[in-house]
Amino acid sequence: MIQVRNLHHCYPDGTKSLNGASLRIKENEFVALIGRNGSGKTTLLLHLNGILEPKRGSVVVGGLELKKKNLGEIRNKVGIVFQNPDDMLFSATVFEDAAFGPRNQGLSEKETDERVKSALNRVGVFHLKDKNPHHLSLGQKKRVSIAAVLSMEPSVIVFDEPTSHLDPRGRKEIMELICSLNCTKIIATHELELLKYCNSVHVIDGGRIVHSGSGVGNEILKKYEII
Amino acid sequence: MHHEYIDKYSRLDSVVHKIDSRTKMILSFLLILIITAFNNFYPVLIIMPLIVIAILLSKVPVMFFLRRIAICLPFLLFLFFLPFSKAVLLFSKSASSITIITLLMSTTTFSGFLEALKFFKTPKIFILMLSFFYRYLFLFIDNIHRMRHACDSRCFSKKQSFKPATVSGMIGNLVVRSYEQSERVYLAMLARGYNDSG
Ligand SMILES: Nc1ncnc2c1ncn2[C@@H]1O[C@H](COP(=O)(O)OP(=O)(O)OP(=O)(O)O)[C@@H](O)[C@H]1O
Ligand SMILES: [Mg+2]
Repeated sequence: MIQVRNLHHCYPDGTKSLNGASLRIKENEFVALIGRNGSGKTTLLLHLNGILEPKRGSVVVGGLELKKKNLGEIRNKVGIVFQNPDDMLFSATVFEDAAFGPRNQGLSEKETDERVKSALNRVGVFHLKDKNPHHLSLGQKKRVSIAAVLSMEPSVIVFDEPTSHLDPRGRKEIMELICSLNCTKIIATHELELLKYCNSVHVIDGGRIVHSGSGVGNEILKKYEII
Repeated sequence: MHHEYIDKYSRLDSVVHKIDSRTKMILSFLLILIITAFNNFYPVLIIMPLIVIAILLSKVPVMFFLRRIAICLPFLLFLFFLPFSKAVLLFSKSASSITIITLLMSTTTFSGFLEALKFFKTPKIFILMLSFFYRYLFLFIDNIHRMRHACDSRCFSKKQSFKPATVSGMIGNLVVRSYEQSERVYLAMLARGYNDSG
């Protein structure tokens, strides 16, 4: 489904954030990406739907090479839930925010309405639909930002730290929700107990994938200073 | 975080709040047009008592309106340059218009307001800009609050260390932060399939 080959990236200020990362993700897999702070998780994820474009190396999603002309199609396929919900929510109401994606996909108002309702219900924030997203608690914002991507029904969803700011109950609910989604799922996380939900684990360190497998042992976690 | 919203009282429950936002919008627009178009006191004298009744019905505190009207006090300066009646007319016209707008904004939620604009076929980009404005205003104010909290919690008090260097650093930081945040929001919009021409 997704193939990343020898990806390099450098931020405008000169920080080398990716150093030849390579990774393969199969269809319907539930993948975890772990690594210490600043190891390049967010940077790698931003490449998956072309928010950042590969300078060196390549990204292929569902047979489409990540290039300018394919951007529209790839963004239709891959949804990203950003690490910070404040970066995602900008409309006057929660409903409008969740409707933003489907409208961009060219759906009719009626379809949009249905998608939004079901997405808001799934993350348990339907009762907030007329509120200003700005006047929500952080955990509620996080849920709304997830709904904003769910409503687009992408075939791959990327979550950058999906459980940050959530209460323990909410964390369990959201993880179960993510598990129940019928698509390819990728999460970047620091919470090792979430790994039990995933079929495969990739460890990133210094902008390079250093371990890929169906699980990860303590020696590896220690070696890359994750624990 | 605490800040006054533009549509602060818009979630109250009253007869005036229940009127369809499109009706209110047209009505306000017409009234303001009438008030400003005529060069005498009659429109103000006829319309304002009705508006006052609407204000009382709306349960929005009268003080709130008085504070808004204070905005056009500078118009009274014209007393020095213009004949008395002209200056008073100018003041009463602007004060009435502000009162009507305030009544409209405080009895209509911002999203209702945008809905109404959409209904009247306002260009999409204009509506998007307004909704951004509403959103960013809070982000901006929030950033200021957040920074103040960060300072206060580390004992930054005005008396103690109001150094130009500290303050200018903060302002610079604020601008950069807001700018970068707007970039990130834009990227998140792209990620959800937005394109500029859309
Ligand atoms: N906008 C930016 N400008 C310059 N450098 C950046 C920028 N964003 C990230 N970096 C740098 O790139 C590297 C990788 O950052 P990235 O955000 O991908 O890490 P991460 O693995 O997501 O970390 P975290 O676990 O803290 O979220 C870091 O060294 C960071 O300092
Ligand atoms: Mg990150």
